[in-house]
Amino acid sequence: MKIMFLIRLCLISLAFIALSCQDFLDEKPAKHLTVPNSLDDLQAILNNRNLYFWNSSMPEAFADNYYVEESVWLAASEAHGKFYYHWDSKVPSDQTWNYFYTWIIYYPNVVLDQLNNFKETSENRQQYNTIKGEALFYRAFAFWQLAQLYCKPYSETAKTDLGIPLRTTAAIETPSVRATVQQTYDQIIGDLLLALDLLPEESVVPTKPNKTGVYGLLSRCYLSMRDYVNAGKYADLCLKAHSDLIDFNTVKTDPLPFKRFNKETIYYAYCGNTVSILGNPRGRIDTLLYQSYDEKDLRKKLFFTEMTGENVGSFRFTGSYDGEHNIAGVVHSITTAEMYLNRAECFARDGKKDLALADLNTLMKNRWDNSVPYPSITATSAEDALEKILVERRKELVYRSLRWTDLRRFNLEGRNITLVRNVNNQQYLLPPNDPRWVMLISDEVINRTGMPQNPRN
Amino acid sequence: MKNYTRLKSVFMICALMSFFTPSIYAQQQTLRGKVSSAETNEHLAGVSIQVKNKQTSTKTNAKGEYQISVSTGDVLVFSSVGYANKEVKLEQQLVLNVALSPTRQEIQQVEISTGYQTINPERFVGAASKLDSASFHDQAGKGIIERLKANVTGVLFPRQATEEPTIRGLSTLYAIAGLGVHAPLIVVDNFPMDHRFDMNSINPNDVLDITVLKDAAAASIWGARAGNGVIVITTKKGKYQEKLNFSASSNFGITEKPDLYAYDRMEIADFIEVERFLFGKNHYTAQLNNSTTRPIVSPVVEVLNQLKNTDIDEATAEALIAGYKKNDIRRDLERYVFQRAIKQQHYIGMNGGTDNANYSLSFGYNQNRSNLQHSKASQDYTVKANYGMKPIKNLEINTGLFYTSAKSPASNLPLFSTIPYEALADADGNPLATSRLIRRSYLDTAGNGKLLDWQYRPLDEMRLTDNNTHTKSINLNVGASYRIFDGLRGSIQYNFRTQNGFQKELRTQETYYVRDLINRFSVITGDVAKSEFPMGAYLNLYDTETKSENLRAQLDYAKSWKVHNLSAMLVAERSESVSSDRTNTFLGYDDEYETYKKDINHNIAYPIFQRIAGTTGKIPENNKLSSGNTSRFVSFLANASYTYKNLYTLYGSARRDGTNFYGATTNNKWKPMWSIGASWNISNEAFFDLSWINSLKVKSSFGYMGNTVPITGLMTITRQKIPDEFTGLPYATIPTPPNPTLRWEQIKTINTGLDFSLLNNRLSGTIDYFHKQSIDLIASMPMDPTIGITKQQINSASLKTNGTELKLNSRNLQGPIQWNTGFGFSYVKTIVTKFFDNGYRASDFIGLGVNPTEGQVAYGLASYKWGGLDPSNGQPQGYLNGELSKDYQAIFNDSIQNQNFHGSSMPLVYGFINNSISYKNISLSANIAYQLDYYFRANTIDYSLLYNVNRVTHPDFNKRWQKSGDELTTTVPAMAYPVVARSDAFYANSEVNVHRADHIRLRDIRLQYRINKGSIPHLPVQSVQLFLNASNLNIILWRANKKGLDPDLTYPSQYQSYPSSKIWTMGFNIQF
Repeated sequence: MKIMFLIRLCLISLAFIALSCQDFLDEKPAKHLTVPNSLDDLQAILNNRNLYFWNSSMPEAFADNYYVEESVWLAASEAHGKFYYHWDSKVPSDQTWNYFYTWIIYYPNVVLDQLNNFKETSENRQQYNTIKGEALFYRAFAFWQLAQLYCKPYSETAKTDLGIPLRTTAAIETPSVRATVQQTYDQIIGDLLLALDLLPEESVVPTKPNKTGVYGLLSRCYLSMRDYVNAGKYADLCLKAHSDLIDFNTVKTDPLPFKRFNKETIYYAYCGNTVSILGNPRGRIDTLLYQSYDEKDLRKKLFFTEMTGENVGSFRFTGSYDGEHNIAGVVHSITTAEMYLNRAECFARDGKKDLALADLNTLMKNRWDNSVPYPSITATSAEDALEKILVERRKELVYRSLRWTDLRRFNLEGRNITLVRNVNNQQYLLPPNDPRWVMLISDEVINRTGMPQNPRN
Repeated sequence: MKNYTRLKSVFMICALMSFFTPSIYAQQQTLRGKVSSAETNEHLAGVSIQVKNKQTSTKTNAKGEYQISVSTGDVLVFSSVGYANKEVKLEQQLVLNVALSPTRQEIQQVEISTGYQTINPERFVGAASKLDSASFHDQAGKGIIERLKANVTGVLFPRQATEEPTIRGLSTLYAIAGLGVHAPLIVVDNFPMDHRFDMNSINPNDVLDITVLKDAAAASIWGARAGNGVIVITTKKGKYQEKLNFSASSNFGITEKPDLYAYDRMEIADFIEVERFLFGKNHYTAQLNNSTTRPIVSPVVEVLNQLKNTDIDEATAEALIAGYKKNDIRRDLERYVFQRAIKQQHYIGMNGGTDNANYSLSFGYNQNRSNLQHSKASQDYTVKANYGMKPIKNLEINTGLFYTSAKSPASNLPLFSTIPYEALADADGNPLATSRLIRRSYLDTAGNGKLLDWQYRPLDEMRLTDNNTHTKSINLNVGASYRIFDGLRGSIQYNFRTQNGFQKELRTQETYYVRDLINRFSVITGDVAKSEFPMGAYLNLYDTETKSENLRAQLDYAKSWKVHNLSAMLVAERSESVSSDRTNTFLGYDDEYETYKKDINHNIAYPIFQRIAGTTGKIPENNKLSSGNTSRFVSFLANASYTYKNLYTLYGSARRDGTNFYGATTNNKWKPMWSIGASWNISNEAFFDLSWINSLKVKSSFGYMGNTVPITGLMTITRQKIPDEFTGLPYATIPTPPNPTLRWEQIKTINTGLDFSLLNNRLSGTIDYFHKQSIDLIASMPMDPTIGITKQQINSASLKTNGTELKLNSRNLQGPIQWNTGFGFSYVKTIVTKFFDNGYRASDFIGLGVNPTEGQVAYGLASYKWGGLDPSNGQPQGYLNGELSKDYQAIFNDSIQNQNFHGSSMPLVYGFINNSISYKNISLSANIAYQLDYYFRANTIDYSLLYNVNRVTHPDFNKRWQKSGDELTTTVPAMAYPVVARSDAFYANSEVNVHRADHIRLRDIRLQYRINKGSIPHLPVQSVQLFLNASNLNIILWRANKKGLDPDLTYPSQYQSYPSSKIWTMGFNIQF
């Protein structure tokens, strides 16, 4: 009986073991999986490269800095984005839209939602504010890029023109509804002004925004709205904080001469969402654009490389401010050069000819071959200065995703620019203010949300 | 966790009861007797005598005598092969002589094993199919689970051999390859073996039988893991009071080379002419002028380019092209790459037992030569030992141990070029270079001879592959059971499984992988090339470890009194399964001295040679540490079964699980899974008086099962281990959006069945009708991307399944020639009853596997309506708003209601017919499988692939529209240049390419010769069996489609995947 007693005792104690562990089911299924429980976790979300990498080169694909040979266009497939070349943007699923909303807007929204779970204290205030400021900046930048593609340019009718869905939360239940263009730009500027107070003067790497970057984006945004007073004001604030220019005489001639985080880059934004039709070896630089550079203009050598074989005489773009990537090399970075051009343009539009030319010459001196004396640019009037600034603007900001925005605003000002593409044995024209200056929203989004589509004819 | 408290208390009370209940012993006595044949009065040796519902058993000796320890009221079961079982209820007698009646082939009254208990089929109210030992071992050479194929009803194997079978149709929609989520639960010797363990660690020769649990009454006892059905594998063990048996078996199988011609392909000459046509259109300009990444240019295009640049003359060019037209990569693959695979299995085993102990021990050795030349053979050693003992009265201890050591080489199948005419070897068999990533003409001259050879030769790669895995598996079972008082047993069982894999992947400097890396990181200064990537080999070591532990406490109660029989069970268990893996990379490795290069900086971006793949790159490494995944379960379960007069049985079970996947909220929301069932043995009724019906039983059950999907409802982020490449900052990703509403999937099942045996047991079988409702199924729902996620896993779907199963065994002929037929029929139709509609377009249905249309069959096949070819240009036309249209995208975007819905893409009706004929010692059997009522999409041309990826396409190319009028005789669109966007996708998915998939297939044939001591008294052993199996014959006896297509071969293949080849296996089994 003694043995039996022991055995029964064992039985019961094992039953206890089987049942007693309250914590047994609290084990995490995998160690790397964690519920965000610190500000460091939220910072890690914002450190994800998706936030600075998946900007869109679509504006460049629509613009007139490049062309594609007929045979190359025929050989390309839909996946190369060949139809975007003649502004046909009807697609079942749109990578551009999806990348913006699933990465550059969703991640900040998750962070902003989660921030509510943390208390701001005097110890964590700096980190808390930086996180919030970064999130607002990334989201505002994405909203602005979307507005350049899927909305009419900002104009008098902005209060009724269709904007983009302004998603400001990660909550799945919230439906996606299109705002107006006015609301869209109000949101962008509001977010940026908030970020301005939260972000530090300096950031660790150029992929992280700081105050200077916010000034730069505000200037860019106001310029696209043709609010030249504010565009000039923020370009000025930006340049006061950061005005370094690269002297192109110091840049070694190399197939890809510029470094990724160079000193002109205030905020680094790569266009990872590449439309390959405009990249090497398909896209070639517009012949007239290439010819417009002076032989002593170092950009002619540093930005472009002549093609080989039967394509001698055509040039491809190799002056990417990304440095590393040799496919298309489109970046959307905010640079000091862009700010000089913004400020110069705003001065000129304000009638301040000399100030405008001073900015333009500061920039151009750094682009000019120093073996010959720099011929300062002069102008007869503020209007003349403006024309010269806009010429240099185009030549400086090749493959920076800015030309499309400029063309849209120029056409609102009566510059009457028609784009032309010759492929598929026909000529495609994009006259000013044609509905195709606004991209279509994908079938997938329209079907799932019922939001209004952009008009065609 | 709080909700467990109540169940916990119940368990505690039961455990305590066992402690305080006084012991009651029935009086034990010894019974003796003789067993003889009722026909001949001869004494019968080796008759097994078992006390029903107890562990006590014995066998008669050579004189037919036996003795056994029994108590009053026990029921003795006498059984012997070739004789009908006999049950005798004991009164107070001390001697019992029994005569058994011979039957040629008694219906096997095999016990049903659920993994928790074994149930007498008479009292079983659920639906289960059993693959008995003989049918299992007749399929020597095959994998364990594979042997269920076309042998039991209700189990359907998908077309792809690598996928898991489904039991009684689809129960879940959540399917991720390799996660085993939609796979049935596999239980080996009472404990689940999750998908992370390699089934090959169990030697098929050690398996006794397999039971498939199909309905709620059978499977619901496995609760939240039973939703997809349960497969219970039982291994061989020794028995008490059994004489020592030895057995040996060996088999040798030859698998034929894969059939490289199984998929239709356009002619090489046509393919080359297309290249010539495209060259004329300047199609290759971008590739030919690419001076950075230098993409592949095919040999013919290279020749045409040289001709255009007048580097060669026309005659030379034409001669070269004519040479290419004669090549065919399939010929080279047959000659230089594939070989017959050879598989051997050798096995010896012994088992036996005394009154107080039983034991079994086996050794196995399996060797497998792969179907690829230059590949090492894989080798498995298995050892299995079981020992059971009764050290003291009422106590029984069982132990079991498997050990497997497996050495297996990774596949050495190299990547082949898609260009179908690049020869793999020259006329003397020397390996030749083929296109891989970079243009060959560039590689010839790159670096002017200062770099390492940069060409890729697939045949060299095969020879150089040195990648082997050594896996060791241990499975340990320890259990003790104690008879607390008559009828009540308490037991504790513990199971421990571990599987350690160690993989050594050595890539020597001769391999393309290493040469390519060395060259990429090379810089040429003057005459010397120096590479940042170290010379020498690249070594990867992978360690994986998977462990599971299971602890189970169980109380069993079984009692028969008068006309009552009661059995009940109460179990508490907890289990944990953990897997982890590590990878280490060594560069500049020297296998001879085991030296390697240290201090390699993997964070510096070095320039890439001529920017062939980006401007800069970092030296790759593969170091990884992953503590892996932990899954834990805590479960409580109980069941009870009551039988009255062997006529009526009532059954009930309940189970509750908790897991660490979902978090406490979800665990608490979840209701227990339960089942009830009843059966009625009509033929046992006194009024039952139909002599031609030997037995008749009806049964019915109802209950719930669950399915565990390993996703979490919590908002989680993943901290990445490697910092961001550009910034060096640590970062996180968001793998799952928060989903607080996540619940477990539930499957409600009703089963009604009839077991019968007629005409002196010559015809026997089972009919089952079932109805399943799967609710709260987790489905991947496409979302509005604007929200921020493109897909969300939510409990959004419901399925409804109806089915019928019929299994018939018939003894058609008896006498000198015996002819038996086994017939299986399964009908399963699963309808989607609910699916969250989120703006689906027709194209969503074309692409998705599970068709999410409410009211339609799951895994449905839809297609676009066909409007013929446009007579003016041969482009395909569909219908939009009732009118002919070529706006393919608008058609894709249209509602599926305006397009075609054909039916299921999985067979709704399937089954098998197995015939076996034997004469004297020879028997011949054949296995025929049929699959009916479903559709498939035939392969056809794809011009986009043909133009842009250098992929050879379908021979429909020859039937393409070429001139007006062709549209009357063909449906194949014209070859347009450039490709009309989306016309390929429209045509491939249009109704003209959908066909009935119904077919009947002869799978296996087996020839067997058996001799035993009964027929040849001088035989030195008990019995010898010799056999020859021909499996995977894949002979289609009938098919519904008129095109002669094999519906199971509908996936386009590019040399890497082939239909399973015929296997010829021969071998022997000896019983000593």
